[in-house]
Amino acid sequence: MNESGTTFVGPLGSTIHCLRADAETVAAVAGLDWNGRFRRVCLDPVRGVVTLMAPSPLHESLRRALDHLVEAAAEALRRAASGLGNTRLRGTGDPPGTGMEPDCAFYVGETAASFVASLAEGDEAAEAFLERNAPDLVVEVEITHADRGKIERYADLGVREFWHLRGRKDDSAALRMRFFALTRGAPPRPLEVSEALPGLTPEDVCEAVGSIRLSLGLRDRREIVARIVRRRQQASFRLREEGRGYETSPTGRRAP
Amino acid sequence: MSESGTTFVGPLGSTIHCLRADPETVAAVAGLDWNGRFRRVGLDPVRGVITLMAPSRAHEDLTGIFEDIVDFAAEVFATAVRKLRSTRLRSEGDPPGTGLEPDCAFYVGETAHAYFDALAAGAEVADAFLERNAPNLVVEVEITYADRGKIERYGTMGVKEFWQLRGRKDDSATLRADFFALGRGLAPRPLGSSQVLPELTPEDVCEAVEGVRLGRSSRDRREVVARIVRRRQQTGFRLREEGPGYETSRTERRAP
Repeated sequence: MNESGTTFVGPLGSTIHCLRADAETVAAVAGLDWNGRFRRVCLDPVRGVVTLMAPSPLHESLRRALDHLVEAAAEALRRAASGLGNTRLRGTGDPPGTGMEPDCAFYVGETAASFVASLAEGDEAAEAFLERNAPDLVVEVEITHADRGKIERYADLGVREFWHLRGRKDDSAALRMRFFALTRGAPPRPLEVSEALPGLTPEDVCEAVGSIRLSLGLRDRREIVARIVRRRQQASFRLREEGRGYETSPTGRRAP
Repeated sequence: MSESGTTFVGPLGSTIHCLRADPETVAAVAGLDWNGRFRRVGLDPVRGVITLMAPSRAHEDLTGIFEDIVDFAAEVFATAVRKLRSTRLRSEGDPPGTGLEPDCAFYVGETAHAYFDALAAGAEVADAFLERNAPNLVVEVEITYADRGKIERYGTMGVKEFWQLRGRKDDSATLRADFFALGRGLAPRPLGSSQVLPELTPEDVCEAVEGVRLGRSSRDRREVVARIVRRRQQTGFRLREEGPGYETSRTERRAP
């Protein structure tokens, strides 16, 4: 993308258009049917940006894999999870129709259970719940310079955890994942282990994504994730066991 | 409008949003239903600009008045005229859906006759005619800095004459008009009087505005324009009468 350009291609091959616009313009264009032309849309009056994406097949494949992964990992961890797809997320007080569409977003645990309860009450209750409650986890598979400040915006919206996948088209080995804990008004804090899906690491996710993309069915995908989660749980149990021994030992040393 | 702003208010009180976008982005967003949200739209891949206007009452008032002035003046001149209103105009080779929507546009004279024939032949023929033939006359009642290069663009499209009105909201006394002859690849050439509606001057049209605005009926408005046109025709006739006399005199002087 040159300096005056607004069109560029992301690292996964998606075509992205990025328009700079002030808050009034973002609000004014929010009523257009952007999704009729673009699969992923961001209308952010705070950062002053309109981003329009035509995701590449690789982008969509990775997004689907992560969608499966989170749902399967939550199941293996016996936690409720509810995928929100690309629901447009906006802050309280932001103009109607504006917002950001993440690649994947999830309610996990208690929030997922409450969301499902609101769904049972009807569409209106579910939409009101979505307005009031930000997702617990947001995942983005293709972040570019057009997304500058986006992670902080998710934090301001109330999102608790953010996963960022970095990959390159035609180089599946280059897949890298980072986890961040988000808090309103604070910079993103890197995490070694997920807090939304306890015990799961960025490396686990990268490993699972690669295998899920090559799997043939739902059962395969569930099994891939369950295996990784079990292995991580066992490793964590071993660490706790060893830790307890270590804890005992100093106490023991302190004993007369 | 601040430097980073994209929203501003024009001299007639219209709200205008102006987004900078490269040709790829302009082409990509051209398929959106912009006119469902904005009354006047410009999607120009050449200048790299998307202009969205919510015209003010004063803007729409003047647009209607100019449509009447051109219509009635053509009637007095016994010239065929066809209003194109805000039909989106684009150059050959520009992406579908892109183009500029002038405040008023007209086919005048032979082109108007040819367009009526095309209309009689059916909508498809009329659309093809519009694609091939630029209007003879384009009028803009509210030009702002967001329209930089717009007049030249009309020239490139093949428009022959351009009228630009300069006015301020709630101040009809400051109304000014400028006429320009346009040509592909040429700088706009200021005109003392119209070539499309011969001898009509910028002062004539400004004078007609108030009378047409306050005309209670179509007949009243027609009469206002007819009076000005007839006066101009008489002046023109007198000038022509005086002209040959002068020529004759010189000829006489040159005679032995």
